[in-house]
Amino acid sequence: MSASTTTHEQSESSSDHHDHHDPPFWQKYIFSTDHKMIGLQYGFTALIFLAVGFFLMMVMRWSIAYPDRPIPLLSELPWFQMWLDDEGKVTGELYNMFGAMHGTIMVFLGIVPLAFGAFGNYVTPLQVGAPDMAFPRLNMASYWCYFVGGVIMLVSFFLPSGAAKVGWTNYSPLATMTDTNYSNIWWTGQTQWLLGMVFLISSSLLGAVNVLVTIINLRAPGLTWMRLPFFVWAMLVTGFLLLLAFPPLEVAAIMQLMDRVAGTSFYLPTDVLNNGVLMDAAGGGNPLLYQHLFWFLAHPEVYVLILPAFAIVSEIIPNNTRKPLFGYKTMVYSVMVLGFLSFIVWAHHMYMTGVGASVSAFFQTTTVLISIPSVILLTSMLISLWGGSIRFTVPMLFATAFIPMFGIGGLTGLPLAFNLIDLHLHDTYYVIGHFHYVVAPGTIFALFAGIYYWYPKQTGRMMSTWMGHLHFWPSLIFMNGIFMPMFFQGMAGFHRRAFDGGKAYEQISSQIFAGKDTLLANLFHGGDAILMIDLNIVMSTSAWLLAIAQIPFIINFFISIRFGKKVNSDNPWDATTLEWATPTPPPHGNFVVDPIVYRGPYEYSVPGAESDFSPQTEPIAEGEKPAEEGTH
Amino acid sequence: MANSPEEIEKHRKAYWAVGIALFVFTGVTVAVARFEFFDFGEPGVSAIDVAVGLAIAVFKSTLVALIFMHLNHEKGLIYKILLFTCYFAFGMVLLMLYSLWNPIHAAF
Amino acid sequence: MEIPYEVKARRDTGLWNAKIGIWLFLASEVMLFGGLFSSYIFLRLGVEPGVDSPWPTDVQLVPYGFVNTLVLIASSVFVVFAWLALKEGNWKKFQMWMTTVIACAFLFLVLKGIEYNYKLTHHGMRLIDNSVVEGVVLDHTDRIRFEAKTVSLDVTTGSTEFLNWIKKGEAPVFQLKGEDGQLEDIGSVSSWVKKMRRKTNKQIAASRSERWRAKRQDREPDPEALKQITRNYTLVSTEPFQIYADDARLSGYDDKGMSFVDGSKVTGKLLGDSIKFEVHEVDLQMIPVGQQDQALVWKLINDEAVKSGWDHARDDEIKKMEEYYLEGKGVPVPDRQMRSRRVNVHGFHESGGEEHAAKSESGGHGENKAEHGEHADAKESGHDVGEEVELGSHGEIVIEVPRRQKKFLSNHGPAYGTYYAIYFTMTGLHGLHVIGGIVVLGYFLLFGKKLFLKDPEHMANRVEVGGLFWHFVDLVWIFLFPIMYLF
Repeated sequence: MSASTTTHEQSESSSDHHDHHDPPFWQKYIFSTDHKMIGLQYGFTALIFLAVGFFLMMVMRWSIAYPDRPIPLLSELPWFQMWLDDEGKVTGELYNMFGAMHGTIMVFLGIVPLAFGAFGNYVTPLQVGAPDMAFPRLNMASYWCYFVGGVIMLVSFFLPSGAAKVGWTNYSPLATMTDTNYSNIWWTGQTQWLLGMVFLISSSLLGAVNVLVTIINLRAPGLTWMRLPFFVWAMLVTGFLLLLAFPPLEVAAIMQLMDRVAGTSFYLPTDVLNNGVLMDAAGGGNPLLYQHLFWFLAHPEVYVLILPAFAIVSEIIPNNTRKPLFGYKTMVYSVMVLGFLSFIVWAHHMYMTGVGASVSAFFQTTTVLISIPSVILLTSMLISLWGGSIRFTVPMLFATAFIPMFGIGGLTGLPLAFNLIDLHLHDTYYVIGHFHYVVAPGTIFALFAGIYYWYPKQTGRMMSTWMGHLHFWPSLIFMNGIFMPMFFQGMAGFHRRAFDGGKAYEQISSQIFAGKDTLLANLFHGGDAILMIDLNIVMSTSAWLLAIAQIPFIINFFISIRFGKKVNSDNPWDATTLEWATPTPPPHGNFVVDPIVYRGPYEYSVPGAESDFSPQTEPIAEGEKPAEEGTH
Repeated sequence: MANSPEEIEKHRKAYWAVGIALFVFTGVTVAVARFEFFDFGEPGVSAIDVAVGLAIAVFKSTLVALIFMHLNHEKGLIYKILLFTCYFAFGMVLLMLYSLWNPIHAAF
Repeated sequence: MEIPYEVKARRDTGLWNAKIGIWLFLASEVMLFGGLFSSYIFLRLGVEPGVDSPWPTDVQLVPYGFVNTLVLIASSVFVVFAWLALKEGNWKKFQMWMTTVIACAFLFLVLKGIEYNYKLTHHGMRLIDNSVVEGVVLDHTDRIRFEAKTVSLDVTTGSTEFLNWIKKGEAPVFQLKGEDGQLEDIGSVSSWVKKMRRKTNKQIAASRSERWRAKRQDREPDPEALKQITRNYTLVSTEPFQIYADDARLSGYDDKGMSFVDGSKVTGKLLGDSIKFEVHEVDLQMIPVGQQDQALVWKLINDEAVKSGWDHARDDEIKKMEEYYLEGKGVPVPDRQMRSRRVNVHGFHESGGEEHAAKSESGGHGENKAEHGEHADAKESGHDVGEEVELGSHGEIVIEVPRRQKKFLSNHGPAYGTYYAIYFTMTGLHGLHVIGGIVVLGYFLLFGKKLFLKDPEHMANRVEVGGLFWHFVDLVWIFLFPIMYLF
């Protein structure tokens, strides 16, 4: 008898026991301390923010593709007029604002909360066999800090100054000087951005402490370190990255806040000019300081974005290939090395600042080194597919697409590691393409895979498969339609912050190359520069179509709660890890009987076993030959 | 860990001793900085003064961490966490300073 | 449902949850203060001689910092005693020790507050030739003073900056001046501006969409849409009012009016823009020794006695350096040691300064008395400066600096330089941690009894965790004290 059926029956019999002290609505759904509810809150909020960030990007893409036409819909709104020019076209200011907030919202309010907040919260305690997070009330505080931070960011759009507009990196001294003409410096988008960040950072710290303690101290009996699913390992490393990388950003934000509201000059050099006028500041600071502190966070942050994606994909792949994950132990060590190295590569974002030749050499080396563990992880996943009898379920579609998409993103990053090439490609669309390949078709696909995969655990119903296909295939095509041309544009020298779609680029390239007979000139002379610019329309159209491609997902998500196909057991995917040993949906306290773990996480198709999957809670039967621990 | 009355008494004595040592070394730091008699190296604040002052501070903080924060008999896991943290903290400080060294100025 | 290992340690890790939690939290705190300390080092080593102001090293009230260090160390000792008391199961003793800890924390904050207040009530001014005077600004003369009657502003972009700078006690009533010169009551200015901004934006939007629609439908737009939309309005006060504005918030000013960075303009009569400054210290570190005699500050002070007193002090310093380097070591004095540090000029002026001081003060002499008293109090609390200070406004060196000779003026707050900035940021954040510690430990003290009676070990664990945080706060201060106060 399998363990899952036992728990299911017991949950039926004990359900009346659970019902009579059901907490009131606000405690159950709003100020909940249950890690699953908090995970869902994180998930819903983050999905909404993802949509907001996507909307900002669509406005920007209109301005890039059709800089001569007024923006549809928005130009009719009276309160929006201050951001448009007299003909209703997007102004540079609006473009900057949306660009900055697109980055901020997507990274800090969308993907990290969805990946670490939602999946980390929902799945981690289940997979380690814990009744809840180690500190449930801190967990709630973490969500509400995040919520407040998000509200601050959103409210800042409606201030007279608008939201922050100095790019998501918020570099000083530009960030210090922007919007200082408003009478109350606190009520400007730039200042509110910093305040919002302080809340988001606190939220991440609380969440990280919680996840780490849960993994370290609340593991079920028998769940040794090398029996942890890879998901949990990735969350452990992500937690450490969040815990140790965010405080320096908090320092940077606090010092920038001081620069803005208290008139300090942390990031202002002596005798700095603003619009040709000597600034009223003591000076003596250094703008590089901000960049150091910022990138000390922001490079590990990239791994915070990608490791949960690895985590999700490495759960789905063994489940759908029905064979163990290839090189589990190697992957665990790789992810730890990745975590270590990610802290000493940050200055590869700063080659253009003149940080010094020897320090550049150091960071080039470490940056190239860090690609080794990343490639090991990716290769292990790829080899995991080999020889498996693959079920192409919807989560598996997204997971398999993740591998080449992240591969493109990662490999295009390698040239950027080198100082000399970076000088050419810096701030071009190439960088944008690289980063978005990692995060958009990479991480976001993995997150979709995770939603499709764990959806039946919470709802007891499967999401529709054909709607899933309708979601997946257009998304795959249009994602590539947006980001692939960016590489061509970038290599042709197209600057990322051109809000008018590159008019200056067109002018300059036709001037530079006119009448010359070189390869470059032939490529970019006159009409060909326009060809580059015409790619904008392809990309923008892809972006809008990508938005349409998300509609089946949204419909699927809500319709399936009521009308999806019912699951026939607590373990619909025939998976091995502990979260499937809980009732559906898991009650407050998760496990009906405290789980005891007898085996590794990915025991699929064990020779001699009854079925092609052996859950971790199932004792090793006679005649079975499970692989030695950690050496799949 | 202090559990029996004798052990608690022993701890109490150790804490008093450490407290007094911290008081004394605070005084020494001020003396090094303020009195010419203790002024090592050049007049005014010199690198040696700073080094001595910081060495005393490190010593004091080691006392606090080992005795007051019980790091002298803590579990291995805590040491591991702190080791990670030290690696990252020192990495940050040293690499930031490294970037101050031979900056590329001529271009600007 | 119960979370396992809340009180009892897990066997393989040997730890209970909160202990791991607090150490992880402290690890992130290490990174937070690590970031601040590395900023400190980065800024300090980044000072470029001759370009940036030198890093000040002797500007703190050391006795306060010293006492504060002792107070924090003592509280750190007491908090372990409180924990031991709980281990013994003695709630009374715990209460006593914990109360002492919190009292120490409050004492720390009070001393810190005195230090802050001392800094915030003293000023420093860098002149255009980089000579520096430190002391006190008199009569709010750091502001530009106007007597005004009319204000004009653009309601779409303009905000109500000028309202922030109207002199305290003045309550002008504004009326809207129409095109025909008709005056109209508007009530509160800020809500009127908000209303007008909304209305004007709506008009702009309507006209724009009408023009756009007309273009698409290939017809002439409604003539109403082509009309100029009024954005600029003029407000007139019923009575003239005084407005004292910070020049950092102005985009320009002349005899007749000033315009703020948000575009609003105030017109009236300039009352004055020169800065009246009571000099305590003269600091010519940024000027090479040979050129110090021609420094701008001497033209402003214009007092031979002070100048020669300052010269003496500088020569003494140089002599001391020469004794050490030339005679002691046989090497020339390095350039960095030849800069004259801050010299207190109080007392130098006694022979001939009276007259000058009295002359340049014949203005708002009477109104100043109260304020001077305040400054004197602040001075008394600081032991390292101004031991010979005479109280009252007589006998101080007061100079009047034309505004264009000022490069930078501020109180010794965070704005006064990167040292002050990092000092206020780090001690401020540390202070916030102290307040956090007071909250947590105070919660244990006031509301911990119930848990203590139920499960003394759980309570002891909590206090241990709180204590670990408190020790960390102490540990940070152990580093802050030497790097901020001493070296």
